[in-house]
Amino acid sequence: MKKFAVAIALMLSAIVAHAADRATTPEITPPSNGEEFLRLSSTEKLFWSIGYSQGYLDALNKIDVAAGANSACASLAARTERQSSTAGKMSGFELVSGLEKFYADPANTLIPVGSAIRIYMLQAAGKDQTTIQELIETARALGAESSHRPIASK
Amino acid sequence: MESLSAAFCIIPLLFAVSARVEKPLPRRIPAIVPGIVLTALHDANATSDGRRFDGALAVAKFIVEVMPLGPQRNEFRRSILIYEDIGTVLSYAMRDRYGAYFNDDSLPGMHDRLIADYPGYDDYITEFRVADAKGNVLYPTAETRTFLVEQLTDK
Repeated sequence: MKKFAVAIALMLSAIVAHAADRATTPEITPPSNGEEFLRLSSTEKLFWSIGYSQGYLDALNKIDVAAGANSACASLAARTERQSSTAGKMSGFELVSGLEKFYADPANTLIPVGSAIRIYMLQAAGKDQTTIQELIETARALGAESSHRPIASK
Repeated sequence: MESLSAAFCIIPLLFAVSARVEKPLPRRIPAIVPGIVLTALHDANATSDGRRFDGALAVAKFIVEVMPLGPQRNEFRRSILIYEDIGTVLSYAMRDRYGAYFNDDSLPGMHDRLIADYPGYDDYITEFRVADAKGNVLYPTAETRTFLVEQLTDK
């Protein structure tokens, strides 16, 4: 009987701990574009940005396991993807601030988040404005196509 | 004697002319004008358009100076004071590399002033504040702007 009571007490405390953990951890639906990103609260944006950067870096570090050490995928990751990764180059606070500025332009709201991050990183690195504008126009077209909406004009 | 009387006539006239040059708008502003300016401010803030916001705020400050005294002017002035705070936060959010969050280092005195001027701000923002790796507490600019916009309708 004593063991049974202890087991119930342990189970109850586990349920309470799990519920408390759920209450403090935000459940974030990953945003696919600016519309969805701007709907998140600042805390959610920050949590998501940190998770995105960390996850991206983890994926790059394991690309040789996933695709093979000498595969085309691994060389592409080493050549280009690592350069456009935010991990180690940009804090979560800066990424959130950058995306908020980028999506403040209503014409950019349909641009996918991944493209927005790359474009913002190029902007922050001082890439020339003509190239940036071309990338933005292409990303707007892709975003509008993926959401089946006409391109928003400024 | 003649020159003295002429001076008495001309001096008030000069004051009247200079007053007209400084304030080209009529004393009686159509009731719709403050509403239009407030809408422009609201929209510029909603789209985070700092340049449009600053322009509309300058117009609002000019208009309030020529409005007749009364409750409408008081209400308009109150809205301008709130929009000035929104403008400070918006300008920082759009200008700074880390503009999504602020603290006393980035916007000196702003958090304390908001707490003093707006009852309920402290409780509201506590839910959204975060701490960085060094333990510095930061407050989000987006939620601060949302709170301030809500103050425009609350009395």
